[in-house]
Amino acid sequence: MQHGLTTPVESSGWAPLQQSLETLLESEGMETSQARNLALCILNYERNLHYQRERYLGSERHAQHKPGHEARYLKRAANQLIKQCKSLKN
Amino acid sequence: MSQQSLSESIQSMSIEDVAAPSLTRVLGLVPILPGEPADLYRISLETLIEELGARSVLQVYLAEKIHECLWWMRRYDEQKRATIVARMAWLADQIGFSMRGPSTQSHVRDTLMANMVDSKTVQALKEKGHTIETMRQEAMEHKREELLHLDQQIALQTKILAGLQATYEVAFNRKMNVERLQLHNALLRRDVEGIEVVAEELSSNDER
Repeated sequence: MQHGLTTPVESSGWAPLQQSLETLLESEGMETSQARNLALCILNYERNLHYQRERYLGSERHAQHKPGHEARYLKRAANQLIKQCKSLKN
Repeated sequence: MSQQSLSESIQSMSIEDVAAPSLTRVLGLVPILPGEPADLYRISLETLIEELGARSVLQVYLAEKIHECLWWMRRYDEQKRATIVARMAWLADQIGFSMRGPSTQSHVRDTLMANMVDSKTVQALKEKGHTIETMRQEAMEHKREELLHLDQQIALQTKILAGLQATYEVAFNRKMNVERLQLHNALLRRDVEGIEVVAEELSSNDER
C-alpha cells in the first residue's frame, strides 16, 4: 500500500479542504494566487503531520515504510511551507 | 484512504482551540494524541500565541505549528524515557527480583515512571550486583537503535521549529521575544549534539 505522500495534494483526499483555506486566507487580503499556493503548502504539511501521527500511533498500514521516508517528506513539506510564507513578504 | 473517509475522519475530530482565527480549526485537526493532556496543550498554545502577538490567520497558524513542533519534541522525549523504563522493568524481572511474581515488571515500571525508587527495588538489585544506574545503562544499550531513531525525530522537529520561527520573524517583521523557545532550542541542540543526523539545514530554496 502506498503512503500517498508523493501524490499531488490537489489529487489527494485533502483536496476538498483547499477551498476553505483559500477563502479564509483571502478574507485577510491575500491575493488569489498567493492564497491558493499557500493553501496547498499548508495542506501538504498537514498531510505529512497526519501521517506522522498515524505512524506514531503504530498504524499497521504504515508499518512497512521505512522510518526515514516520512522524515524526508515532512522536511520537504516544511521547506515548501516556509518558502511560501517568506515569499509573502515580497 | 478514500477522499470521503479521510475528510470524514478529519472533520470528525474537533478541539476547542483559541479565540483567534485558526486554519487548524477549519481543518478540524487535533494535534494531541489519545491520553495526552488537552488542557495543558490548549493553555500552552494560548500562551505562545499571546507571546508572539499572533493575530492574523497565518500568524496564528504558524504559532500553532511552532507549538506543535515543541509538543512533538516533548512527546518523543517522553517516549525515550518510557522505552528505557520498560526495558529496565523487563530486566528486573529477568535478573531474579526477590519480589518476583507476575506483577514485578509493572511494579518496577510504575515506580520508575513516577521518578521513584523504593528500597525494596534497590535492595533486590543490590543482591544481584546491579544498581539503578547499571540497569539503566544496560537498558539504553539494548534500546540504542530505538533511542537513536527518536533522537533523530527530535532533531528533525528542532530544524522545522527553527525554520518556522525564522519564517514568523521574516514574514511579519517581528522579532520573537520568546526566551522560553530559544532556551528550549539551545537545550535540544545540546542534547542531540553528536547524534548522527542529516546535518543539512532547512532550506528555503527547495524545489516544490
